[in-house]
Amino acid sequence: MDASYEYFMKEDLSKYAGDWVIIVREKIVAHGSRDHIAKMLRQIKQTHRGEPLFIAKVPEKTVQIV
Amino acid sequence: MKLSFRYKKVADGMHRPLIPLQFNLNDGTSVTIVGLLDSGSDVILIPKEIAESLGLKAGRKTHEVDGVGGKIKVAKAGIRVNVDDGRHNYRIPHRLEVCVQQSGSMFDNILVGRVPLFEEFIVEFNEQASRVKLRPSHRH
Repeated sequence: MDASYEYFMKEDLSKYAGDWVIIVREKIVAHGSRDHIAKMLRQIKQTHRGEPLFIAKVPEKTVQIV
Repeated sequence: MKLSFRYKKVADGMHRPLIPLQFNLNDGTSVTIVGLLDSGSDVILIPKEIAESLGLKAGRKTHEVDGVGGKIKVAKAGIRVNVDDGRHNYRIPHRLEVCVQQSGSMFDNILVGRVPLFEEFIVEFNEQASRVKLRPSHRH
C-alpha cells in the first residue's frame, strides 16, 4: 500500500479540511482548492519527478449527504 | 482475497469509508487517489478539474445525472485501476468506466459508486468496526 495513504488515514489533517492535498512520501507537498489542483499537480510532477503521487480531499467535520 | 480498509476518522464519532484507487495513467505513471465509497451512487464521479489534471480523456457525449444537489452533466472516460490494501494488490482486468463532471453544481470530491466497482467486488460495510472489505467477484 502507498505509504502516503497510511499517512493520510492516520494523521490529523483537520487544518487542511476542505482542501485537496497532494502527498509525496508521507509529506503534504501541496494543498488548495479543486480549482488549483491542475497547477499544483504540474508543479509537483516537476519537483518530484518519478515519485509516487497521492491525491485526496481532506474531509470536513460536517455531516455529509451525497 | 479480501481487501480491507478502515474508515478515515473525521471527528469524534464521525468516520468515512475513503478508499484508495491507483489510477494507471496514459503516460505510464500512476497516481493514487482517494474516493468516498458510496453505495447510493450509481457511478464513479470525478470532478472535471481532477480528471483533466490527470490527463483523463472524457468522451464528447454528455449524459445527465441526478444527484442531491440537482442535475449535472457528465462525460465518460476509461481508466486502468489497481486497488491495494497493503496485503493484496488487485488489478481490475479491464478499463474502469468513470464519469467526469462537466457542469452543474459541483460535488467537490471523488465518489466511488456501485457501477462498476460494486460489480468488480463484493463490498461489505462494517460500521461497527469502521471497516469496508472488498472481495473480487471474479465475474470475468
